[in-house]
Amino acid sequence: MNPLIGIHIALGELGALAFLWTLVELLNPTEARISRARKVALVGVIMLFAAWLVGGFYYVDYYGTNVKPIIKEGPTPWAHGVMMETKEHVFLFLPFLAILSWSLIKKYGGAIINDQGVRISIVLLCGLIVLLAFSMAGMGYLISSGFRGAIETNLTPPL
Amino acid sequence: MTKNITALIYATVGVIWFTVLVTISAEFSEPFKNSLKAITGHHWTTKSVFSVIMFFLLYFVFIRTKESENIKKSINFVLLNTIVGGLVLFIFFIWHFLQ
Repeated sequence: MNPLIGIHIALGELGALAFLWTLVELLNPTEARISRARKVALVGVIMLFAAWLVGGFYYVDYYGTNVKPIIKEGPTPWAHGVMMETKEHVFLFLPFLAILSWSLIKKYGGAIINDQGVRISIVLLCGLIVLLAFSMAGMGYLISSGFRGAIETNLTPPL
Repeated sequence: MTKNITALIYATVGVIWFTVLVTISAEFSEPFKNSLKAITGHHWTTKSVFSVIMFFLLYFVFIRTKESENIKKSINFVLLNTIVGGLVLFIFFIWHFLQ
């Protein structure tokens, strides 16, 4: 087990939780809640960028040579061919969506309290960030299962 | 970064479609994928670096754009493009895997 995976997961989940917290603060906003949402969204931005760096280092330095070939030879090669390929590219949307979300709260903080339409759109944007980030975790689970399945298949002697 | 939200929205949507198009193009063209790899040592690292450059480039290109009067519509435009862009990649990789 590579510790970078654990750090990547922790940073990504903290990023997702930060935007879930932000979303909750915006449901019934006051000036204090907007101020808190702005700070928590910034934490989310930092966490998602850090998850990008750590996950990227693991992917380039370790996964390609040590994990990918084993998954591709195992019983669920789609764990890499579909899940990892989708995960590594859709993830690239997340840090930029996070910057946009934080910037919107920073700029339209006052308007969020009075303008329900803007508030709902920013809440939906935060919700999409949360969903995408948690879907990354789900795909990560399928990729890990694909690796484990491939190893178990190789360890089981033929009947 | 908070001065022009419209420019940020264009930059975000631009990065999404840049990622989708470069990714799909690289899967169809081995020379293109190799050229991406040659720049940083790995095609994904190059896409990552280029996405950051593209984000800032697009932001500064559109920085003087008039701020949108309907910010709700602009945010919904980002939501739609994110969902469609993500689905395009997911469906493409299913198709590519089945080839």
